[in-house]
Formats: sequence, C-alpha cells, structure tokens
Amino acid sequence: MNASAEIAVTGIGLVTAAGVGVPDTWRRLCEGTSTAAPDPGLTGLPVPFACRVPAAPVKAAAPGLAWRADPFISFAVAAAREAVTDAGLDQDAWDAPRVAVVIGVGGTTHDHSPATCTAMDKGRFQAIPPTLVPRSAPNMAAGYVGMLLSAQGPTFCTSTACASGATAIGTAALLLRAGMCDIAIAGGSESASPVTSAAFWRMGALSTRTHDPAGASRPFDSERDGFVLGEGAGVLVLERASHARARRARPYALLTGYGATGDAYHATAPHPEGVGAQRAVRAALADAGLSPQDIDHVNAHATSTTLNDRVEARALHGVFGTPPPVTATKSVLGHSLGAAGAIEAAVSALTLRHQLIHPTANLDQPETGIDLDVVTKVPRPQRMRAVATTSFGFGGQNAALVFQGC
Amino acid sequence: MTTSEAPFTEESLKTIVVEQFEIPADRLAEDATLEALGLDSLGLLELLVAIEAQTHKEISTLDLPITPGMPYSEAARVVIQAVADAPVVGAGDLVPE
Repeated sequence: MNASAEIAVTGIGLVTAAGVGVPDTWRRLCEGTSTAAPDPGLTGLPVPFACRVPAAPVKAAAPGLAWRADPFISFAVAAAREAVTDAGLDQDAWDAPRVAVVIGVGGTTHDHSPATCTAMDKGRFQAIPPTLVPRSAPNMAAGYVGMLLSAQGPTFCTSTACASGATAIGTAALLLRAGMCDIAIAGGSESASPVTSAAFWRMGALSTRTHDPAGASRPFDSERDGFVLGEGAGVLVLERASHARARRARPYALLTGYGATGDAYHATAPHPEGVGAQRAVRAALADAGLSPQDIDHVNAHATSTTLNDRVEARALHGVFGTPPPVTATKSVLGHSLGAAGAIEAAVSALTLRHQLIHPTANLDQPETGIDLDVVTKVPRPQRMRAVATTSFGFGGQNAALVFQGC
Repeated sequence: MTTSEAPFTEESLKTIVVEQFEIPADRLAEDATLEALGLDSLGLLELLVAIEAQTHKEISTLDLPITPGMPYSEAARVVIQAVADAPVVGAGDLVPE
C-alpha cells in the first residue's frame, strides 16, 4: 500500500465486562483473569453465567439512552465518545460531513423478544413499544453515534456475525483510502440477552462449565467446551496518516492490511482446513505488503469452542509455518460476537503501543495437536513491528487486519 | 404504584419521566420544552405507553394536542387530563403479561 494511503489509529474506546474505558480493560487483560461470572439476568437458564458489562458506568457514559435504545447502542456511543476524546478531536469543530461512522453488529439483541412475542401471541398490540424498531435495528448503533457525535459522512452497519467489528474497521479503512471521508469512527458493538444465551446454548456453542464460570472460557485448552457469552463495544478513530500528522495527533498504530473472505461452506462450522481463514490472513498480509515472517504476534479469534480453535490453529500453521506468539482476548472478556473483532483490533493496537502481549487465561493443558506459542499466565514484553488479528463469523465470513507500529 | 382507581397526578407523571426517561427533576422545574428534555415524537409515544401500562387506561394518542415544542408544564396538564378522560381497559391488555 502506498504511504499516502496509510491509515492511522488515533483514538480507542472500549466497553467490556472489565469496565467502561480502555484502562480498565487493558489492566484486566494484563492480569489475565476471566471476567465471566454468574449473571442474575440469566438465572434459571441452562447457562446462567456470562461476561456482562457493568450497567452503571455505561449509563453514566451514555446518559438518557436507555429508554430509546438497547444496550448495544449505549455501548457503541460510550466507546465512540471515548475514542473521539482520546483522539483529541472536537465534534463541535470537525467537518461533520467528512466524518464516517461504521459500526458492526452481529444481530438484533432480542432484549424485547419475550415481551413482544407474548404481546403478539395474545393480540395485545398496544403493548408493543413504539421504539421497538429504532431501539433494536443493527444499523442504529452507527445511527445514534452519528446523531450524538455530529458525524454526517457515510454511516452504516456491517454485519458478518462474529467478524462484524473487524469488517467494520476494514471497511472504514477502505472509505478513507477512497477519499470518501477524512475521519472514520469504526468498530463493533453487541449486547447479550437471555434469548441469545438460550439460542447459542441450544446450538451447543456455549460452555456449560457452570461450576466454574471463571474457568469456562479456555481457548486452545484440552478441557474447553464452548464459548462464554460476552458483550461490549470497541471503537477506533481512523484517519489517513497524513491527516493525523497535519493535526499533530499521536497514533497508536497504522492499520496497513485488511483481508475479507467467505468460506462458502457451512452455516455454522468453519471449513475443516480453515481455507477461508487462511485466505483472509494472506489477503491482509498482501494488502500490507508484508510476508508471513514479518508478523510478530497474532491476536487470535480463539473462541474456546472445540472446532474453531482446532481449525484456527491449523489455519495459522498453514499461513505462517511456525506461527508467531498468539493470545486469546476472549479468554478474559468472553465472546462479544459482533463487537469481538473490534475489541481485538483495539487490543492489537494497544499491544503495539505497549510492546506487551496480554496473557490468555485458563490455558492449562493445550489440546494435543494444537502446537502454538500461546502467551499464558503473565504478560509477555516483546519487540513487535506488526500484529495481525483474525475474526471468523458464522456463515464462513472471515476478516483479518494487520496493524504496524509507527 | 398508581392503579386505575388512584388518580394520575402531576407527581405520578414526574416519577415516570424522572425514573424511566432519566430526565433530572430540576430540568422539569425549569419548564424546558419536551424537545429540550429529549422527548421527541418517539419519546412522547413511549411516555404514553408507559402511562397506559401503569394506569390500565387507553389514551388516544393520535389527537392528543401535544407538540415537542411545548413547555413541560403545559404538556403535563394535557397528559393528565387525557388520562382522566381515557376509558379503563381490561387489566393486562396494555402490558404483555
């Protein structure tokens, strides 16, 4: 990619089960302990634990939204505000039509599904909230971020299941390269609900380690039995590096590569050899003009499901031969679906800034055949110039991003 | 909780607006317009739904003489009168369960 089209990450915002704001999440990741805990909202369900975002700080960061918007919208607004402030930008002073908003969301939150289904079933249509559509439609995370932060450029949602956040960030980079905007607020957001939990449990995708929630998300471990439902939002402020330099911003990293592919294989299972995943990583490397040996670290998708981790390990060997050190953010924060790729992109940029890889929680005994150098127990300081992050969604929709130090 | 028997008062409305819509009570005292309080057309509809669920009364929302530009005190008078005039409907018809 030519230098004039380099994209800088100048702001980061995070809302996770570790808290609202980048410092809480980075600290928790470096501690390497899971945020999974019994959740009163899931009492009585087959899987009564999850990695839930604390409600009070979200309410404080995005006040007045709860009555009109589901939590994923509040998460996105809170993370976007943090990212914009972090970037040193002033929403009252910027050229609003040149600011894009791309927020990935995996699906509707189903927060209102039980009440709405009951009302429909009983013909009590008067009980259906007038805000049902605008509070739950996936595009409304980007919509409210645009409204509340005065961003009037291209504003939309990407939806590629668990890759949605990474797809949003990659797509935002393309908008910047194409000159369609000067600044992009890009990320992903998702909130968990009892219906989501029940649905993923029914699919056999969730860990049922109810006796030990904190040990349930254990990517690459021989005792893993599924993912732990998480929620949150990750938002980056992206701009062309020349634009960032002109306003003397100090970027965390450069986003230099984006690859996106489809497995065209199965609704929920990844291709057994991770062919689509490999092509996504190779495409991101080619976009960045890097070869596999240039990558110093991979922030893996690593959901802790039996199939995904095995296929991902295979895919990483396919691309890298001997893969660089790997870590699994979902071991600490759970799997926040459409938000995960964006949260992990943010963590990748922080990893480059701090030159420190956070440990993967709960990896005690790697599964036989998974031969990866996974960082465990304590953070690993390491000289890193380039970091890749992978995201794989249901439907075989894959995205990979490459970040480089600057 | 207010029931269909107890009158729906200014205080009942204030409780809903402050608790459910997170609007600080002092902003109501300032008599800001509904719009300034963050209650746009959708917000007004949600407010009426919340009142219906609490009072078990069906308010005719379509011809309610309220606009987002109206000061809160004036809108409150209109809403309270509309609740007083509204017919009681079967308990539960306005809430899902």
